[in-house]
Amino acid sequence: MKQGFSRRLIICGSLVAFGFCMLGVKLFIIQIRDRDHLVAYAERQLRRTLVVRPRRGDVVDTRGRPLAVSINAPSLFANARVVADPRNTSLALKEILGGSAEDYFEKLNGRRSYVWLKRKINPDQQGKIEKLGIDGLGFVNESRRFYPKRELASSLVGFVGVDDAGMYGVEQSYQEYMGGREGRIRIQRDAKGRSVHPESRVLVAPRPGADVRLTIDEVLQYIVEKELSAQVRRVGARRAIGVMVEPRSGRILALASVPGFNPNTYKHYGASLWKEPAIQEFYEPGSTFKIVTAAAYLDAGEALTKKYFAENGSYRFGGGRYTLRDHKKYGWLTAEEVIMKSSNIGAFKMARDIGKHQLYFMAHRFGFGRKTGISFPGEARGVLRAPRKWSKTSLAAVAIGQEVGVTPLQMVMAVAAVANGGLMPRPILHESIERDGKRTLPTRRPEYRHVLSRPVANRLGALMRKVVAEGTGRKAEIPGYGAAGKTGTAQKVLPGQRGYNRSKFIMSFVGFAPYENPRFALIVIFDEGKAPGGAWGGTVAAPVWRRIAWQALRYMRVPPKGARVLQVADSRPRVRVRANLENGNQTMGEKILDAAIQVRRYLHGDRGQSASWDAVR
Amino acid sequence: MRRSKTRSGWRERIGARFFGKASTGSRVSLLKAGLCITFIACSAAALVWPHLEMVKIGYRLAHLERQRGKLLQDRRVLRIEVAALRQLDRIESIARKKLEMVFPEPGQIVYVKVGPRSVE
Repeated sequence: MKQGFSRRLIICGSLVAFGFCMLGVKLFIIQIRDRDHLVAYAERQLRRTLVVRPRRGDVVDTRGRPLAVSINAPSLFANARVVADPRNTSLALKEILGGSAEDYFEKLNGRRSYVWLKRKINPDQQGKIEKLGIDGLGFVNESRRFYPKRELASSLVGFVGVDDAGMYGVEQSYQEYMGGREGRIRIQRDAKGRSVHPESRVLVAPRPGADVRLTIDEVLQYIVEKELSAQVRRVGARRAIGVMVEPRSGRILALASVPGFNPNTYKHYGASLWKEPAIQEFYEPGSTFKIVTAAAYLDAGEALTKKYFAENGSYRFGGGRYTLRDHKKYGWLTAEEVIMKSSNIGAFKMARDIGKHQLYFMAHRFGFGRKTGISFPGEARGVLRAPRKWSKTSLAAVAIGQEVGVTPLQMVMAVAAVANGGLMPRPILHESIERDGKRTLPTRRPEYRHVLSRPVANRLGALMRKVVAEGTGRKAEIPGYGAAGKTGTAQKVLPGQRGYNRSKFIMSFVGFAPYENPRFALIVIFDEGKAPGGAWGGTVAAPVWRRIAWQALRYMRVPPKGARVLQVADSRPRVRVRANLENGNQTMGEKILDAAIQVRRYLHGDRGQSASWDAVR
Repeated sequence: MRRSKTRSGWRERIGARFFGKASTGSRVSLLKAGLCITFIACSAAALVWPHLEMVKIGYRLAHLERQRGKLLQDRRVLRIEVAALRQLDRIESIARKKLEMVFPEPGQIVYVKVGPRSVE
């Protein structure tokens, strides 16, 4: 009995000792031998590094109205090795997401551990898929870009690709600011995979993209696009371009090209529509370039009263080898009348008087053949050849706006310089770059270039006023305001050949208004088209220019001469609400905060900042 | 015999402690041991409790952040909707067709000049 008890005791003791030995061995394996591996394994399981994608900045107009906005959009991926029933899953996905069940099946039936099924779906679809509870399907949060104004300013704003990188327009040129910076956050997860917040550690702080506030005004942009579209339909033009600039500052108020495209579905449109022709393309300006000829003429000290014989509508030069034509027999014209009636022969003779160098240098001073410096990708320089490369016909051609290539923006900036007393501002496209409503970059101050002396600019402006009042641009006149400008009708160059197409024209009008106190310079250009009064800049472009200008001035609240203006007494008292707060009626919390502000001021000194609640917060 | 004595002594001691037949000194030491255990337990609880609270708050924070994210997302979606509804061609179309509004003639417009304080 006693012997049996002892034996059992020894056996039990041995088993317990063996168990402890095994435990010791296991502890040795866990704590010493496999320690590093297990620690890393646990880290992987417990902690996770999340990549936080930054929100792309918005594009807004000058008054903060959104032109491009990003929202979160889930993207669906699958681990094909885990999905148990690819056939039924693909059918279910087809029901929710649309598309082809075969495509889904093909992706799910493979052996890939990470395959995109559909990117940037909407949250409702995500909810439905989650309810299916299929193992192997997952979501990644991405950003989706929306353009709520659709076609409005589409070629200017541009669009982003699938990876949220700007591909065209403002989206591309301001990518550096709008893109933001990816962040990395290390979180601790529990058994259910939930984040245990206090344990999260920011490895790299994410920086959201900055918002870009453009100088474009949505209403002005709409007015320009609406009127251009209506005229394109009316005359059957291939396309139309309009650019409106504030002469004093160089701010671009509207920049339109018609037809546009819907950036939300940009793939459905041809790539040619994605470009911004007002900046990225150039054209032969035709008679609008006579502004440069006239500027060079005035700058050379010539008088506008000087008379030129504009022949009888046709003039042979270069030993009779070349012919220059006017559309009318003008006979004798003063230099002023040459510009007012847009005589080609007269313009050539004016240019001949001043010489090719004077004409070239004036065009160069206006910035033709060079980039304007606007912050937009792929800006065209245009074409302006040096005088040594000019042929025998070049002086005549350049004087009437041929053999030169200008962008619509260059042309309107030249007129802005005239309207601004000879100072040409650098075109500005963005008002500010903002993050959380605060400016991250100081607003660029206007930069000017001296192009013309003030007297020459004033005389040239007066000449352009006469073009509208009495000359070819009469249809651009805005009663009560007075407009100044110049018409242009240029034959189109035959593609791939020498010479011009005699039936296809580019019709344009460029000018500024009001004449006495210019608020904007505007150019409208129509590529091809037919009108009952003939396809001329004065009949096709000038009326559209007038309609746009009139609506724009009304929107800008510029009263015309003789308008009824009512003076209204000030409705607001001078006493500010803040004063009431400081004088009493403050809650205890507000009093404490005010005291804190005072203490802060005392400690840090008042550095010219007004005391504000935010300063304390 | 010696073993049985020892065993009974041990039983007595335990019994006395549990059934109150022990001496006053034993009771004091028992009380000390109890206090010590209670103190250790309380200390452990005090050590663990903040951590548990932190985790709980963490869950709450994560939940609130998710809610905040959702609300921000809703706000942005609504902003897009508002911007889309404010498309000027749509507004002009409604004004012209539904409300039968027309642009005023130049002579019909009255400009109202307001003082700087009203604009403030």
